[in-house]
Amino acid sequence: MKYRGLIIYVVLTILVVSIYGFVIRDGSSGKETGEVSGHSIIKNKGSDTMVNLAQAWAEVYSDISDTVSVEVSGGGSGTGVAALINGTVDIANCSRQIKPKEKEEATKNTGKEPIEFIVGYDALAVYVHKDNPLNEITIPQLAEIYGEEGTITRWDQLGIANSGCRSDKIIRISRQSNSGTYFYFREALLGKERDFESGSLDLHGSKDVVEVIGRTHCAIGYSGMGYATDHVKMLKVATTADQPYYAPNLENVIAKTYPIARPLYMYSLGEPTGEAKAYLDWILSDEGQKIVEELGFVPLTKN
Amino acid sequence: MNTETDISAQDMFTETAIGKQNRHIENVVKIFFLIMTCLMILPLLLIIGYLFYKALPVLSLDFLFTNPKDNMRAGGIWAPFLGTIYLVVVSLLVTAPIGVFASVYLNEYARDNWFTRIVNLAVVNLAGVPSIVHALFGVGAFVLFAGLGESILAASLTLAIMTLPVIIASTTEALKAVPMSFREACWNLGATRWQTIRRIVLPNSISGILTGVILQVSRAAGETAPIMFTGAVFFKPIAEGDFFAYNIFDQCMALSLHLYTISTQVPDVTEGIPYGTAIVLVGSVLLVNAASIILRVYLRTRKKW
Amino acid sequence: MKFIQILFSFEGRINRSGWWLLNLPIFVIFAVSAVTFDFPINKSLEHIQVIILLVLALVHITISAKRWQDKNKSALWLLFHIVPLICSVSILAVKLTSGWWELFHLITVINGLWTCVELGFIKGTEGSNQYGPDSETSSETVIDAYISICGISSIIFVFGIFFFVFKEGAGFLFGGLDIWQFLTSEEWYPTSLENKRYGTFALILGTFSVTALAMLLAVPFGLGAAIYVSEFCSPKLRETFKIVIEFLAAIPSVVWGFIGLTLMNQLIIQVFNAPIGLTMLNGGIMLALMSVPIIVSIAEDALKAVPDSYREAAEALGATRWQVIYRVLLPAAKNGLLAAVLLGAARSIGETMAVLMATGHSVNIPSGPLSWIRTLTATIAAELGEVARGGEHYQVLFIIGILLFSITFVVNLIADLVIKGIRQS
Repeated sequence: MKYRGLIIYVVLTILVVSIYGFVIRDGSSGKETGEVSGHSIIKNKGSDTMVNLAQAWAEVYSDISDTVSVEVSGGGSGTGVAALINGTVDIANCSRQIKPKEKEEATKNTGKEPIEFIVGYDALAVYVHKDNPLNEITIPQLAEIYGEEGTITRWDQLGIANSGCRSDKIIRISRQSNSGTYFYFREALLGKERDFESGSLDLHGSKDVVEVIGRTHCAIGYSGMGYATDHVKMLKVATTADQPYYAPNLENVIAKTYPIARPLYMYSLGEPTGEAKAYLDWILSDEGQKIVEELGFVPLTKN
Repeated sequence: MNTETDISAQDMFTETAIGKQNRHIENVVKIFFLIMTCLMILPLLLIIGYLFYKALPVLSLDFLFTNPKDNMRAGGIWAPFLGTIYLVVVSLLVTAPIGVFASVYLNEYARDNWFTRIVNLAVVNLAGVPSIVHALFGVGAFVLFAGLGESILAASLTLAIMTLPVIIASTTEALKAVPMSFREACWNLGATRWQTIRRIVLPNSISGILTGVILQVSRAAGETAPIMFTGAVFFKPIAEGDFFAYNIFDQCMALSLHLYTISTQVPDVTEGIPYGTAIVLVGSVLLVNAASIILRVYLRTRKKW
Repeated sequence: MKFIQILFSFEGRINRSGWWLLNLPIFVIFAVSAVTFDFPINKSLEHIQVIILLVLALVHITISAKRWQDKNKSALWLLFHIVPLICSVSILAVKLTSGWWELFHLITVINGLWTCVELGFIKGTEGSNQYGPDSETSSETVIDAYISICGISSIIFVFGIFFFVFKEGAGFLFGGLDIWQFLTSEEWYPTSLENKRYGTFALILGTFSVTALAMLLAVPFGLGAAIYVSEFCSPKLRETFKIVIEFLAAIPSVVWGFIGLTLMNQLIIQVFNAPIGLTMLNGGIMLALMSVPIIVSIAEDALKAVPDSYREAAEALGATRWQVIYRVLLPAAKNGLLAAVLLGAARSIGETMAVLMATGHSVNIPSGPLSWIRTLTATIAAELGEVARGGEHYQVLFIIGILLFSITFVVNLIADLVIKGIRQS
């Protein structure tokens, strides 16, 4: 092997270069957030509803601050809270409020109490296909459509003739059973005692829901109002039949008249410091809130 | 008797009605199976064509080298692309030596006894374990038990174990192809077992081993389920054009998971982008496969025995 | 010399490559441990980690001693690099920092480099010396040991997979889960607030029905293609077909899922006038396309394994090609074909992303090819990300993992036995 010397040199060079890449640069990158020198990482995890929002914030923020990179992952509110309890994230996104028990566990596990920030509001819109003649619906009707042993299974029971749907059967589109959206929608419709009837299409993403409804005349589903497209229609919703119907839009959510709207939370472990604090402050600033509105969520109102 | 043989001798080369019918049937059968084969191959061409056609508006070199932008609705696939490279390289570094050595053990060291049969059975079963079960294993063993957390390292180790049988299988095939007489000649010269392997067996089977390594790369690059919970993230901004942008203890984006998220979770994506991502994923996997095939054919023509 | 002796004995000699083979992993492990000093390595493993590091340090010392002896020098030369090293580490540990200590560290490093050259690059005495016979082949013991360890690694991994998946799910499996209900109830309400129910019957049916549909589509085409490739093809054409089949096998499952979600979805809506294209049929077609390559390649191997004398005998008797295939080849190769179908089915059962994206993901007792279903694998993939670690729901998902592992294990085992059966007969 007359090239052996050459091969050894090549391997050594590769090793040195990768050690430079992996180890030495790590050393300077700093493992904790809030480190002053070098660049730091904020780990941000949680709700699927908020993942696009969190991603948009992270993307814009990476232009504002060169030294911070925000790592965003979804997985659902439960994941965020679980990570908070394990102390493996800096900021957890949550589309529901953290339960007292979880708060206690986090405090016990990490020695720091989760601090809550409301960063915006989300209205869950009820979607149907754009050719569906239905325009408005009440919460009890929705409960009978989605709830276990519900009585409404056909479109004519809602008093409309859905001509695009030949079988007239309502196809229920839902979300996988532990997303924050699913939890919130179930509670808003059915309270804490009743479950959804199984047999709905439990899709994995908010976008998926809207896309499937856009192709399906028989379908009804729920998703964040920011996900609306040209192929679907958002229904006006009333608490009961004798109440007025409200469309899911900014004014109605801010006025708290639209019945299926909820706050979006971010949790940090203990009072945030350093980079994490700067990030949260920026999110709550006008600039951060503008992104909330751009993505179809509802920004915080100024007091 | 005589007349009969005369007739058959005359008719021997002219076709009887039954013979004609048989030939007919044979052709029909042949065409029938050909159609079946084509029906199987057609989807491959159709799918690649369809993906490519839909992806055409976004495909360019920039698509590869820019990050997802604008809330992942636009831009390119740099971050997930680099993430996939990291996952593949790290898993390859772990799995290639283990896989090659394991099959050397099975072929050159192990005697034909119950223990060897159990090892072989384990390899077969390892190949059959569903990818999502590998994911559960990765979560239980690397993320939680070893305390690696969700990281490139944990995801790569999961991928490494998952793709181990690929390397073992093709290396075994390559080692089997080296004639026994080569080994015997070497032993007769007084060489030890390892010297024989090192000087005779491995150099003569290197093409097959490389094929296995390449197949491992293509398999690891395409997997989604095992990395979903062990190290891949929805979004992570990294510097464009920097090949050392990830750290193996951090999480990364990955091409396969990126395709899944933009096709199910991100609203209003520019239409071509998911198709572009899919074609890059399929394209790189097929390219790698093609490389392995070319290598195999090329080295086969050079074979000395 | 035995491997254990090489690791722990101070007697005897070892050559340079043996020293490197053992030392390199040790260096790497020490370097990783040093770099990841405050990395969140599982705290309960800390003691084990320390013990492992100590054992490795011991191995480093014994093999270095043997290297000195290989050069016909006393093992006491070891002290020249061990003593400064220990001093340096102690100085670092008590955090003494001043210029003079830095100088001492520098001496340690230079000393270490010199030892490294002395032990790693300079050859020992030839022939035997006062410490033992020639060490020329001592590195082979190390290599043999490494190869054996790698060889049995797959057993360790299979057990490891079962152990860790089992470990995460065991708590609930033996404490509270009604296994009968788990297998036979169709009520999957893992997140109900009042009444959590973990019935996977609908999911099991979903998995099996979509697999059955996939096999219904894949088996005729797969076997047909295998027959064509092995019996009718010219060698050149056969190579081409095999390459195409390899390509088909290489397409990642998430891409199949994406095709199901976009192209196949629309096709099914248009062709069958169905309200939604994300159905069992959609998933079945995707799975069929994914498992066909396995079926073809294994079935073709089985047909190849039938001796040519069978074909010749049949043709000599005047049988047509079709009769040869139907009456001779298929019966002779039936075990291999069965194995092909089984392995194809195992692949379909274990597939995740394609069915997650293409089948509609709905807890439903399947009522036909156009009904939407949910499989075991898709359930894990969709829900694992969102469950609180250690909770009941989390453990149930791992129990589903055990179930899947067992199913595919049994199917693979049967396929393996069937294949073994052919080899022996």
